[in-house]
Amino acid sequence: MIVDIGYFSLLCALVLAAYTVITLYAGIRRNSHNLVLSARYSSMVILILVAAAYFSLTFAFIRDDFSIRFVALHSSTDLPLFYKVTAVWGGMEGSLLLWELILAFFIAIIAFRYRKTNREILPHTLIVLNLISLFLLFLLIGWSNPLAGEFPVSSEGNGLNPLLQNPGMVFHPPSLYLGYVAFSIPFAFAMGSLMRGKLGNQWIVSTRRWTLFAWFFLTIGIILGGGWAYVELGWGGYWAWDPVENGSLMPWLTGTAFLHSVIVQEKRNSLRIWNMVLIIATFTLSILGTFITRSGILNSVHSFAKSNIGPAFLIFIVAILVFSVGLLFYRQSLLVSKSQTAGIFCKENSFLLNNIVFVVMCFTVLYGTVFPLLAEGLADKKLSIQAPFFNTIMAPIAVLMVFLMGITHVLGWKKTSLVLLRKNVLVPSLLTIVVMAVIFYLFSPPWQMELLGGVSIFAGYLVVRELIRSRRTGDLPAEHERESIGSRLLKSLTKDGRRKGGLIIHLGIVIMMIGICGSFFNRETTFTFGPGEENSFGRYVMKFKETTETQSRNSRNVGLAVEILQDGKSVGVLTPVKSYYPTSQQPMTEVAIQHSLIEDLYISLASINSDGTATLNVYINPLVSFIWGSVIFFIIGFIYSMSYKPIQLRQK
Amino acid sequence: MNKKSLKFLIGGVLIVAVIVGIFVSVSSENMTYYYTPTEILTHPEKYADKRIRVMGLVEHDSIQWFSKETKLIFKISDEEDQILNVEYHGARPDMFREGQGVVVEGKLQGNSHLAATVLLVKHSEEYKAAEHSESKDSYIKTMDL
Repeated sequence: MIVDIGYFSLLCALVLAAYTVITLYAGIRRNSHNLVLSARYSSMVILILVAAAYFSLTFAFIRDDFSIRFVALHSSTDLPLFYKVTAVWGGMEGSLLLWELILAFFIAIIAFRYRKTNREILPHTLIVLNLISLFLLFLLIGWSNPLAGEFPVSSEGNGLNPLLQNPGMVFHPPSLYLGYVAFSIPFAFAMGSLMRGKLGNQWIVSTRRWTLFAWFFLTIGIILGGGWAYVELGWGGYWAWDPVENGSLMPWLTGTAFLHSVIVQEKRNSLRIWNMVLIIATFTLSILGTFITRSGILNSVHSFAKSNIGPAFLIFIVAILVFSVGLLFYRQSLLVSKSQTAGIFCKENSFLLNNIVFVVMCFTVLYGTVFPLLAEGLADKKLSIQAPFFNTIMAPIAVLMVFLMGITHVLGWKKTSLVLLRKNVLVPSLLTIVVMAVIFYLFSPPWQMELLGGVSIFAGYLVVRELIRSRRTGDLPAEHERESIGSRLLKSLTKDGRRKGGLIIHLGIVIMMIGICGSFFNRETTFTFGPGEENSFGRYVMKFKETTETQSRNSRNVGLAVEILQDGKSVGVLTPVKSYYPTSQQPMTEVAIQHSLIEDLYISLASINSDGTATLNVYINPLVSFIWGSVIFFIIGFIYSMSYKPIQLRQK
Repeated sequence: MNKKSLKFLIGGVLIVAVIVGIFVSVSSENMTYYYTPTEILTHPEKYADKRIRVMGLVEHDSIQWFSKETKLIFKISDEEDQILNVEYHGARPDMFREGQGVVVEGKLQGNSHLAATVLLVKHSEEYKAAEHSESKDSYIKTMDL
């Protein structure tokens, strides 16, 4: 009943989205303010309608309404309430509804927030956004309808995949979607200004914070996905160059390039066509990311051909590309930037090189992800491209990326004095050489780790020095002198947020790179032992204590308590578990991890054998904590960056 | 075309050529094709000393699990009922059982023996259909690789 209202709302939203597009078009043609106003209000109504549909589905989950196919497939009566509410995005149809909800929300914000500052391009921008929305609504009422009923009604649902019953996995998809959808805003503004033929830097300034927002949530989404893989999949790692992971990394890479290259346009008014290309690529890859995960193409090309949604996505991607590239081509004469002379050592060039680095990385990932699919589709050969391919190519490029990230902070726009540059890099270079020598002497690591570690120290030093300087140099204007020390400190900490934000995020990247360096020293072993027996690995001795069995609300858990000894002293008990869910035939591996700053001891229970012994997979992963720790820097840096408000928006 | 854009064009083409060159060489080193036991067993000499990935179904009554040595010995087969012996060192995966589709990766030793270092259990949406007399080949084709 409630679900019928939801479905009806979706239908109305679809009609209204079509109405909005037509009205906007007519409004532009007739130069009618009232028509545009009507379209803006209808954006608001679409948001309400989509929200109604979303909540009706949530409601169906809470009430265990298994007459809805999507609910029957992804929930069960014994599921905790928290997971019932979040199971809405536990499958394809619900995920797309969440996508659409976020998009409708953003459109409503855009329609009102930018009505004054971007009056000229707003109608065009809204047309683009509503066309995207129209596509999603079209899928949602037809091929991918989360509210479709099922008959006969089953009394119990299939249950939510136990792998998804984890907080990391609950927030991973919405975070990615926030990122993906938010990239549609700069894209729509870019297309809007192309359509309008008004190509100042307005669209870039207006969408700066949207781009940051998208970048931040995409970053967090990817890290959450890695964290989930680490604790739930039980193979000891967090990144496997899996097509689903690659699908989210590709828009991140071009998005990061875009985030940097728009600064060049803002400051120096160049790279204008290039920025258009980057945002088109980023948005298309965001759609491709959703498509790769959701179309079934990963299972096999055969099942892709059978699904409806896959080809629909493919057509959509092609349509976006044809439309946006065609528009760009049509307007290219308006985008030519006057060439400005610049020296070799200048910020512009470091940004340019940074862009090349990110695009090459993206191309690498695209090639490695799509090539096996093409080989299967066109030549009927099944093959896989393995992680070493990605690692071999990405490692040296990452070294270059981190180097650029550090050096750019001591380069000036247009031209840098070489004397000053030499003075600035002398100390970090020496420090880097010393640290690299020490690492080499102590660990004799692979050359990739040696270089990545060295360059991280180099960049880290420069970034931290700039951070300290950014606090000091901006000695506050004289009028603040009479204020208390506390308030002056507060002011010096909060001012120049954009610059500080960038530096802090760069510091986060350095921290993450140090974590990645640790992965070159990962070790693993597999062994079987019986009650009372011991086994040593690294600096740890593991002692078989006892097997345990517990019952939780929707699973039965068989575990093994392992006592961990270091230097003969007990430092704790780890209990890796296997959980059996009645709704799933495959048991879940719940790993047990002893975290420390230096290394993680990671134990997963492979099996409890018929003779009472247990087989364990044990991993020692150095420096993994640094990867998760980098998130703190991303959050703080993001908050700093968002505090910067473009001048144009400030006036209003 | 003016001099400057010509420079850019040549530079761009050079960069792209180098990148493509590196790609082809690195990816061919790290590309693994999937084979069936029949392909391996008809021409074992072709695959000697190469890392190969083989997909097939676990034969009935062929599984031996040595927990102490963490060693798993089993046989896999495909449509043609050619049987490949596999020896894998490592833990026994949860869903590993008779009739299950698996992918193993390793090197061939002798003519019908694979020393595997990777063992992946694969699921297929058409698993049920395969159980009911449908051909093994169509099952293998739909395996979620």
